[in-house]
Formats: sequence, structure tokens, C-alpha cells
Amino acid sequence: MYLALLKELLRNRAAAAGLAILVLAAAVALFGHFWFPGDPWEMNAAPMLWPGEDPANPLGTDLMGRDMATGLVSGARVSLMIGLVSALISAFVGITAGALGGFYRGWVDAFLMRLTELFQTVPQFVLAVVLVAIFKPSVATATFAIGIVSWPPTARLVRSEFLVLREREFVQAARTLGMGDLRLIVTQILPNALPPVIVIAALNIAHAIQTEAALSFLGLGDPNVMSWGAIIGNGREQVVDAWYICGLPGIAIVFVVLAFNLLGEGLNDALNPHLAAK
Amino acid sequence: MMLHTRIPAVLKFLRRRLWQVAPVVFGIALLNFLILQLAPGDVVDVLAGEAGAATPEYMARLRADFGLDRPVPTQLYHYLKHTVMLDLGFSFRQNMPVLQLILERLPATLLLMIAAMGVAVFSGLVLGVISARFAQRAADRVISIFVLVTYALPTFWLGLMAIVLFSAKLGWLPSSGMTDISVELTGLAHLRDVARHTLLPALTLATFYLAVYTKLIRTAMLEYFGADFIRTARAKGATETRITLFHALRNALLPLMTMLGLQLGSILSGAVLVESVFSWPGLGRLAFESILARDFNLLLGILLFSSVMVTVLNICVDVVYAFLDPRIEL
Repeated sequence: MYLALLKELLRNRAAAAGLAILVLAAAVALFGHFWFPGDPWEMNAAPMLWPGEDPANPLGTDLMGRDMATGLVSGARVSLMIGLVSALISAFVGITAGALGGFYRGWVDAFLMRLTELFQTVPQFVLAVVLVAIFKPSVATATFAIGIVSWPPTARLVRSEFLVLREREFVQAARTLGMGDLRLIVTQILPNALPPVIVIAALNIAHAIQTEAALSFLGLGDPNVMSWGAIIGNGREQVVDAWYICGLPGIAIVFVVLAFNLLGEGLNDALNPHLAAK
Repeated sequence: MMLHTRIPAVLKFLRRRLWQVAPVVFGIALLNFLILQLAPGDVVDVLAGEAGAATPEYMARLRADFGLDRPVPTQLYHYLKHTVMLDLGFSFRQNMPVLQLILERLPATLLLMIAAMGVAVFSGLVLGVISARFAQRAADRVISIFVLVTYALPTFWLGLMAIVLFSAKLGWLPSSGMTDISVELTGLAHLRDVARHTLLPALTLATFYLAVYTKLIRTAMLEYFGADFIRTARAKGATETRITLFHALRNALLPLMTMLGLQLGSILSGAVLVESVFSWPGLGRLAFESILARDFNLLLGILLFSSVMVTVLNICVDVVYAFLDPRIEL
């Protein structure tokens, strides 16, 4: 099934381009430090060297003389990791809430829907800022905060799928066979509800990467980790004189976010072909 | 038209909906309390201690106020009581009650949000209509690439780059603040000054939503081009322009309003970032200052207040929606 899906994605030019960018970004994140070894925090050259000015620092240096390329490689790792893990958290919370509400209905559903609405009313980014600021900025709190503010759309989607699927014959059949609720939810309904969830998860990763960058930009990043948002935040004071310090990590963010969006749309076309006509 | 006959209905609707703000306040207050309970240190440490400027007497009074020596439900009761009476506490860093601070910054944020939404809705409509009218042709393709890219741009980064280009390199527009503080302007000149300062932040904030609305209008209009009432209009001999602008567009406005209502929270989040880039003196800038000062009581107050604002704005969107579509019951 996965091979067929991959083939389908590669036939779609936009999705294939997205996949290519992501493979490249993953390669930079995983193997980049072989090309640019060393500590991204080390101040080992003249400050504010423009890209190409000195071959030792091909992408230049920042305000403190730290190598930009090393920082960008470190940022790729941080961004992708936080993006993936927080999207997993968000999917887990969203699927759990949506599945329970849609399966059991009644007061469980009513309670979970109120909770979902509450989390949708609160400005998400402001809540993430509050969580990270109060629980001390770190990779863990940022990941957790982004995951915890972004689950409502997934929950709503899973709930509506469950409301329909629970009435279907194969579910009734499994129930008649004496299957317990948990097995019914996990082995029967969930696999059928997953395709749209996968699409929303891809889009969530894109959004999470942007949110992480925004948090670091505001100074709420992990003080020990060099991320793209942190490089932009550190460079903003001199943005007029050395715009590349903010420019380069921003371009990296744009490409990765664009790639996940393209992948999400491609997955949507491949997994929900009846919607593709739109 | 029939607008005036709906006014009593609108008033009744407003009365009913305003009551729905109460559970939101309650929910957010509960959430804030939970965050404070889970935070390292006790509530008063977080609220006043981190701010570093509270006097020991005040902290002792706060501890007694919150009843920290009493069980958690009692504490919750006290916290909710304070919140419901809109007593959001005092900010030592800014030396002002939190509520007053927030209300002072509110107009700037509202101006920014409304300006940005105006730009986003208007340009989204124009681009969406063009791209639906010329679907699959060159104009449509250019617009869809534009949409794809703007959708991926981080707002705060776009703002920084806009400052570099339009303020520093070209010198067209000011890069920070809401007014020129070096000169005292009044009347029309003052308005012009504010407008010049609003332009860059509003455009920056608008970009993302512009992309969303363009896509939405395009999809909605393409759907309507096949609908019965459009065929009827065509059969009556209406021109394509008239059909596009009066028949399809009017109906495509409805999903736009729905989307706008859903996105109010996200727009406010975007404003926080844009304000901290452009030093815009609004709620977002206040949030940024409170992060820097570790003034968490202020930060929690902003969270509560902005959620209430989203709920109230949502009610306004519902009213506009009902005016656009007479079939909707309020």
C-alpha cells in the first residue's frame, strides 16, 4: 500500500517536488555536520562576514562571528525534529479526543467538544507563548506546547469520521462478533478514519515548524540549541546592515514549510481521490 | 431593504450570544489556573516573584488572597472569583493594573487587525475572482504559485524583510511604531502619519490570509459556476461579468465569512508577532514585553482577554453573516 502511495505521489509533480525538498532537508539535518563540523555557538571568525566573502565560511558569519552554515545545519535538525514530534503529539491527542467523542457520543462527546472549542477560541500562538514562557523555554516545552495547541482540527476531523464509520456494517459485524470497544476503535474504525488525518498531520508539521521559529524568534527558544528562528531573532538588531543573517534561515523555513504543504496536498489528492476534482 | 426588520432579531441574538462569553471566560480562567498549578514554584512565585519587583508585603497579601494554605478547590474558587470580577491583578513591571494596560493597548491591535483583514479580504476577493474567471489559464497559474509561496512565508520574517526593503533600502515607509514621535501632528496630518505607519504591518499580517481567501474564493466560485441559479442567470442573458460579480461572488462571500470567524484567534496570534517586529504599540507588543520582563500575570491576562475578544468578534461575524444571507436564522 505504501509503495503504491509513493508511486502516486511521485506522479504528482508538485508533491514530488515537495518530497525532493524534504529528502534534501533531511539529508542536511542528518549528515550536514560532516560538511560543517563544529559547534554552531563557536565564535571563530570575523563577525558579519557576507556569504561568499571568505571560503572558510561559505554562508558568512552572524553578529558574533559564528558560522552561518553550521548554524543552519543545526537549525534543520531542530526544526524537523520539533515539527515531527509536535505533529505526532497533536495527532495523538486529536485522534484520542476525536475517537472517544465520536465513538461514545453523549456526555463524553459533549465534554470533549466543549474542550475542543475552548482550545479553538484561545489564540493558539498566545497560548503556546504562555506555556513555553511559564514552563521555561526548552526543546521539550516548545514541542509539547506546539502539540497541545494544535490538536483541535484533528479531533474534529476524527470525530466526524467516527460518527459516520461507527454506524457502518463492518463495525456492526465486528461488534456482533463480541469485539470490545478498544479493539473496535483501534483495529476496525481507526484505520478507515486515518487517510484525512495523515493529510492534516503533514500540514500540521508545516505549521509546527513555523510556530517553533516564531517562538525562538521571540526569545522563547531553547537557550542551548541553535534553531532557524533563533538565528533570525539574534540577527534582527542588525537586519538592515546584514539582512542575510535573517534572510537565509527564513528562506530555509519557507522551503521546508512549502515542501510539507505540497506533500500534504499531494497526499490529499492520492488518499481522497473523490475530492481531487476540486 | 429588509435590514431594518431584522434589528429586533439581532438584539435578541446579541443578548443570547453575550451570555456565551461567560463559559469562555470560565474555561480560560480554569486553564490559566491549571497552568499556574503545574508551573514550577507556587502561584504567587509565578505571578509576582518572577516579575522580581513585587514587595514581600504584597506577596504575603497575594498568598493570603489566593488562600495558598487552603486546599486546591478553595484556591480555584478564589482565582475564579478574581477573574470573573475582571480583577486581572497588578503588573509591577509596568506599575499599572493589568486590565488598564490591556485596554490601553487594545485600540492599536484592533486597528492593525481590521486594516490587515480589509487588505486580505479585498485582495483575496480580487485575486480569487480573477483566478476563477480564468481557471487553468496563465493568470490562474501565476496566482496559484503566488498563493503557494505566501502561504509558506513566516509572518515575522516577511516583516523583517519588508523593513529591509521598503524602509531601509527604498525609504518609502517608516519601520516602527504607530506615529512619528519626533513631530507633533494633528488632524489630517496625524491620520496620514498613522496610515503610513500602519501600511507595512498591515500588509505583512494580511499576506497569509490573502493566500487563504484567494484559494477559498476560487474554489467556491468554481463550484457556483455550475449551479442552477447561475445557469438561470445565463439563460436570462446576463453577461459573464455580471454573473461573476453579482451572482457567484455574493454566494462565495459566505464561506469567506465562515473562514474569517474561524481564523480570528489565528489573526490575533499573527498580530502578536507582527507587532513585535514593527514595535506596534498593541497587545502583541505588550505580550512581548511581558515575556522579556517575565511578567506572567500580565501574560495570562492577555491570554484571557484575547480569548474573550475572539469570542466577541465571532459574534460580530455571525451578525454580518446573517445580513449577507437572509436565510440564516439568528
